[in-house]
Amino acid sequence: MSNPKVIVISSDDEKFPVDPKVAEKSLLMKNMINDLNPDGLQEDFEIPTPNVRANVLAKVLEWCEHHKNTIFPDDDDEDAKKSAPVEEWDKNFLKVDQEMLYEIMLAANYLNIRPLLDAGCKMVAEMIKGKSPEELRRIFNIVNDFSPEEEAAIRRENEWAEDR
Amino acid sequence: MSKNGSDCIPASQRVSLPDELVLEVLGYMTQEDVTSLSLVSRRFNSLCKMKLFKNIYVSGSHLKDRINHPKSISSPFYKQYTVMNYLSFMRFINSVHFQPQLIRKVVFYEPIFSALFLNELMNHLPLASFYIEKNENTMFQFNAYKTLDHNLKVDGIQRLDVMTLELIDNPVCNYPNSVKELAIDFTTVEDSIPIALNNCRAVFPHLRSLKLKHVDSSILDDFAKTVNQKLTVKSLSISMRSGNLQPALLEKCFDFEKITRLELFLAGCKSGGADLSSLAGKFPSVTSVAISCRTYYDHDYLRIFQDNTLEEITLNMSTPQLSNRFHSNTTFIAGLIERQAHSLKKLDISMDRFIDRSSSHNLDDMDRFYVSQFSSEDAADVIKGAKELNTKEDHYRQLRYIRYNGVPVLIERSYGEFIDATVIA
Repeated sequence: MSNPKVIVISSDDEKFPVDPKVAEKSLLMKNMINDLNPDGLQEDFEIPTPNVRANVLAKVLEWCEHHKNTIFPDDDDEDAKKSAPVEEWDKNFLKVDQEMLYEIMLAANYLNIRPLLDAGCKMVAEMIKGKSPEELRRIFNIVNDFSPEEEAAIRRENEWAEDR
Repeated sequence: MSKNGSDCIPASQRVSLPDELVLEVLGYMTQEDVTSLSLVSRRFNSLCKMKLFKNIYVSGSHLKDRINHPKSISSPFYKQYTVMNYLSFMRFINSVHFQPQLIRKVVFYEPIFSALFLNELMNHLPLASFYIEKNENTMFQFNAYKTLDHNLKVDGIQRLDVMTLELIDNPVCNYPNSVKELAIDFTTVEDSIPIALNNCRAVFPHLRSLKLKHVDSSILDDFAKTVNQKLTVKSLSISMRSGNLQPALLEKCFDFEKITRLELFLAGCKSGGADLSSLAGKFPSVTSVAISCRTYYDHDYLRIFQDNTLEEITLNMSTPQLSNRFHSNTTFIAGLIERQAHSLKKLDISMDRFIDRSSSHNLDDMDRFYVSQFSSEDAADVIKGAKELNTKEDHYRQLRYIRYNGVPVLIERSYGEFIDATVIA
């Protein structure tokens, strides 16, 4: 007899059967599994994720599968968490185009997978690091909606944070 | 960036991060990068302000000595705080763009403001909490303290670090009663000076945490003489610079019943520590312990706590001639884990953190420090999982005890690199 699976359903109705251990990397899914199956999982259990597309969900579950045995540091250890570099495997895993990265982060946020969201944030922060405002607009495709006067005013305003 | 895709999709249809997630990302960025991003667009400007204004560190002129690295470095410090000097801070709070409701925390490094100004500021920033931080070593700063003392009659400060000199120059009652955490540094006390420790409770009614830095036995003796009612705190920290910690004095000064966290820094003690065995069983509420000393196996301080009551243990061993003491250390740690196995959630052991590499200490010996082999069904999984943990730390040697799926695991690192994980049966 095979063990019961968790079947995660994407917004476009694709079904992803995974081990409960994999699904439980998501605190949202973990809580759902535990709350609705107080006596443990007896049979397959479906979880719809109405705002995650199939190709994003596949990526997220791939991450969960890879990290199913990883022990992540405590949430309260802010300094250690913020200073730790993104792990090599995660870095390669998150080398995707910008939209996909954002969608993975949105899904990680929705599904409450803190370490994946952290890694995504660090990847974006890394993309921003050391860039000028012009470069940032180009990289992230952002339209400059300041008037020249406004922009000059903000540059002056920012001086308090720069000279120290 | 994304060469395939982003070029052919109009900007309006592309996925973008909601404000909530942009703020998350900002948490991983330095002040310099956030400042740069704030110039990109109106939306980013207002988001970046939320981050830049949140935690402010107002530095004195000595900041450059204190944080001696380039400002762009990705240190946690610069990710948490926006650092500015006094002059900038004055300009900042007087600027038209100043948004007081965004400010949550302000840390002053050696404040030179008047009490009146600080009071006004606190009224002006209703959501902020205020901290004062001080440097502690040179005479120059003592002079600065004299002006500071005068200014400390300010409400709202929660954490206070003082030198004993200030306590002597000023009656303690000049300090604000909002203080919850008090640290007193005795570094400069040459002769023992009686300090009214029994006044602490009256002056600081909300006191939760007391830290006595660099005391010696005669200072504690004076404390004990002046105390007429035991002091009750939740967290007690004592670091000894010389002499031995005498259990009887400790018991006379403090109400052990309520203490939940105890820190003892005994490396400065004669003969490497003190005999605390008479205190066995007298700390019923302690769940978190930090001890730093030279030799553990001679005085096993952790025996004074009941079995299976400690959740968090931090040990810093600076053991001379470690290679000769190899077996004692191994036995000590194994025994410790055995006694606290059911309650222990976190164990940090660092050894010879400040070891002099030019001396004869042999680092290779330490690599074999903990070598027991146990097995369990989950062992392979656990070890694989543990190996993927690789947080950088500056300790030469670190052992961390964690529970994974209920299985206790000991993880070893050296220079921050993962060495080994051992499942403890």
